[in-house]
Amino acid sequence: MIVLTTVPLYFLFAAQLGQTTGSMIFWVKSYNVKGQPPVFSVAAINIIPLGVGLPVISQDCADYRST
Amino acid sequence: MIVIVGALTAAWVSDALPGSARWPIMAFASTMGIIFPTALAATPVHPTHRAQRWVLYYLAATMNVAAGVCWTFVNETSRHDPEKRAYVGAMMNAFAYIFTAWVPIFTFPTYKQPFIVTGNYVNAGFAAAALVLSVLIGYLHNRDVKRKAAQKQPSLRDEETSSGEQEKL
Repeated sequence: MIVLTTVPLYFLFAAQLGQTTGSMIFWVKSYNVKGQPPVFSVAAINIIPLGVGLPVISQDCADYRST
Repeated sequence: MIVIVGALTAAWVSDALPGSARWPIMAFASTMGIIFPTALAATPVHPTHRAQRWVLYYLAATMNVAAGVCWTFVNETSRHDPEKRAYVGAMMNAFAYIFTAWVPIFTFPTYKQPFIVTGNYVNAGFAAAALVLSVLIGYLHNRDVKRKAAQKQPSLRDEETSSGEQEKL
């Protein structure tokens, strides 16, 4: 019974937390201001926030192990 | 690398805990979900040392490591009932997708990025709610396990006594 009620609710709250890390790409991009020399290249802006995604890989490994 | 090691450690720890408890990892991720969004909201967006915020963003990923453990918990607890498992899985996906479709419009509006303060505090609140729920999940799950064990014990005793009587006969 607990699985039916509490776990989906937990998942609902936990799913919102990804927005915080999703903000990183905007942060990196914000260092480049029009009229001034760019701080980060376009490639760097796209690659740097991918570091946040690394847990997904390890998570897949962990899921594989625990199932 | 630190994050990879951290997430893998979390999974290993979860398997190694007594009874392969899943809720402590869920509670850990929720606690990180309170700490890092609060830190990101309370500190300057462009600090003197860029690495300060960079590290906060990377470490904030530790709050997302419990998703797999959460699915594992559902699969384990309802492994004897495929219909229930499918229903709970569908509910988890539906809850997550339905709310993620509109909540960020108010908490993380694109036109305010990356200067998000309220949204990060709201996320810390969500994480606090998730923390309370994870502890509740642990409590209720342990209670169910104990009840099942208590139900099994008398039946085992009955079997033992009946087999003992048969041997005597």
